[in-house]
Amino acid sequence: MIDAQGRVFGRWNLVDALLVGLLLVALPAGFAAARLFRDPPPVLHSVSPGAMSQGTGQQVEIRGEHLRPYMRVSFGPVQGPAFLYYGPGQAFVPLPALEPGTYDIVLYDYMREVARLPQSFTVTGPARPPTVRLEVTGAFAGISREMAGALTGGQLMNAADGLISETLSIGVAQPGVARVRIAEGRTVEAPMDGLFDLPATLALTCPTSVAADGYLRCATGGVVLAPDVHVVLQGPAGRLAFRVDRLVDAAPAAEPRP
Amino acid sequence: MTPRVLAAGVTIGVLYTLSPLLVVTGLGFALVLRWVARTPDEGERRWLVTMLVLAIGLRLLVIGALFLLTDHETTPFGTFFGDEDYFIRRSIWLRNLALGIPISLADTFYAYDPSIQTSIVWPLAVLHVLFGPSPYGVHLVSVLLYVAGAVVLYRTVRPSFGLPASLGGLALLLFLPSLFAWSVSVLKEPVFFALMAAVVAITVSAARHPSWALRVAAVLVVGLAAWGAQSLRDGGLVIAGVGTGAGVLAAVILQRPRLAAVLVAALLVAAPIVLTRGAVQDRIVAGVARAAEKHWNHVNTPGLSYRLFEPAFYETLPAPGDLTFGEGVTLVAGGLAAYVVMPAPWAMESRSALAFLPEQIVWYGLLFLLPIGLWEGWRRDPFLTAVLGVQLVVAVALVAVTSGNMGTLVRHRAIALPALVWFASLGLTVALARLPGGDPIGGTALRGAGR
Repeated sequence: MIDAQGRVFGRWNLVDALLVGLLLVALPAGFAAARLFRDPPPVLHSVSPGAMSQGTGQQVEIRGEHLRPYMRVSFGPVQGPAFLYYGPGQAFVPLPALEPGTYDIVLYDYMREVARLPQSFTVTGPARPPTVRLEVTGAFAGISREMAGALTGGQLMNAADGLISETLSIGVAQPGVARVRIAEGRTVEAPMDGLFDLPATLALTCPTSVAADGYLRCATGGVVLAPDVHVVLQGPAGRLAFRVDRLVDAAPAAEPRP
Repeated sequence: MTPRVLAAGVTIGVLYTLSPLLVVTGLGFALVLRWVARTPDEGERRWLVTMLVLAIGLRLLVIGALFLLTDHETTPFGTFFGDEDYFIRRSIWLRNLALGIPISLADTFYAYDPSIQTSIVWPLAVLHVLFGPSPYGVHLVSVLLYVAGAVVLYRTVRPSFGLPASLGGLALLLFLPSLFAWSVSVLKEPVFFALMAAVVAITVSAARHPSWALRVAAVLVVGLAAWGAQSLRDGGLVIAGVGTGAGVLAAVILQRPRLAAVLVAALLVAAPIVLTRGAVQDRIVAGVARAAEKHWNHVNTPGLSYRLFEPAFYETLPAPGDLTFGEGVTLVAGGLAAYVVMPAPWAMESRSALAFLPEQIVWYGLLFLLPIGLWEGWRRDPFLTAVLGVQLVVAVALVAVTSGNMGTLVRHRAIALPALVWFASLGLTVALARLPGGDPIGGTALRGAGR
């Protein structure tokens, strides 16, 4: 088949024959295999409606191509709670809790982002400050002597729902006392042997939210800031409970940190 | 270049386009078969190649069936077990993060999920980086690791246990249904098995070699493998490191009767002093309490479970200090009994449980043959028997006192099976040879093959 001069059937150069074989056989076979087994990439065409007001119980319609039931949609960084698949061209996504603004609609499959509609969805709502900075006095409640020694002024700590605490001042440790609310407006105090309360003044930068009653509130972990509540902070050596005695006022803006 | 070579090249190219890991693991299987084909004895070689080709072929068919039977319109990829889905997704997320491919914020969080700590996702992620996302290809890697580990163990026991017993053990490793299922899965089992096989092989080979430099190197490698086993699953260090070390010590001591007698006497003197120390008692109690907590958690997971205590024990998680001495004894003794008996054939009702019945009968048979195999193994090769035997004991002990869920028990029993099958096979060989007019199993079928 291949002669001494390297010609196939005595006519074609061997290397040329190999290249022709590659073009005629290998490439089409590879192309066919890829077309047969590779999933077509999903495409996003539109989101409807393109704008909504803040609220609950709403959903948007996503239109595209090659959608799959296991895909997910996020509105900017916020993932939709479900992906209700109606077919390869249509899906419905319940609206998560979003702040007013314009968002990208991002489509993910099980492993990566696959399509995006930039700045395609707008949420409208009453204007309000995203955060508020409050000065609160109170005490780190029921902490050990070692923990009390680890707390200093200027420390930053965080809590649930994006609350950030800055310690403005630290007092002298006192014997620990637990305040237990037994009825509206009534609390009792119980000593905590071997533990301490460390008075402190904190500046809390707190995300605002609109409660069901329409009031703007500052809350963390489901706890609305108010006297006698305990805010759980992530301290230098573990979680700490800070008992709020008094909300003073809006604190001045924090100094920019180097 | 012949048409055959050209066609082979085209085929490999097409296959690589479909699944790069199929081609890469195919090379691995070819290397394993080539290693096996170097067996000098023709009869033995024929048996080995046949068994391995059958084992590999069946596993490829099963994985191919998984691919073909999965509806890829509704699910991104198919798996045999739920945990596989998690490991594959998590490793692909890690791969995408490493390559800067944007993924969902939720997936970023779960990619570094601190609640499930296992190192298996990292080598999987490396494979996805090298060969692209390969949710089916990684099954082939599991098969390759398992088959290679089985051959390594075969080669290790063959010189001491002989041909029939070694072939029997290999057949059990390759075709026992539960081990077959783990070997095709993307779980910790195939990797853990391969690591343990390597540990045993390195330990025994180093002991058989006169060079002390090699023995020191073996200690370091075994230590590294034990660390790897621990990163893979909790208890890996104990089984691979402590189990192997204790096995080596046991082999050394038990072959020196005077030394053994002195150590036993010393233990008898020291035990009452040590065991009455508060710190030692506290450690024992804490260890038993931790085991009781694991058992409690397993009983309270979804699925079929078995209980060692009264129902009231399982209502609330017992505090470490609440566990009584009697409950500790119940945990250990009851756990060991349950490890052997469960799932009890007389209590099997569901179809899935009944489907497991034949293997459970095989399990009882293996346990019956174990003492015979241990005795004969000690007679033929005390070192190998001690290493495998102590690893078996450690694997049994760790699982027996912590299990409570049937599915988890069956799965974790697979940790002990790779050591158990060799002794059971040897026991069967010896038992049949001792029967009146008996011949070692396969003696006729293996005529012409060396011992």
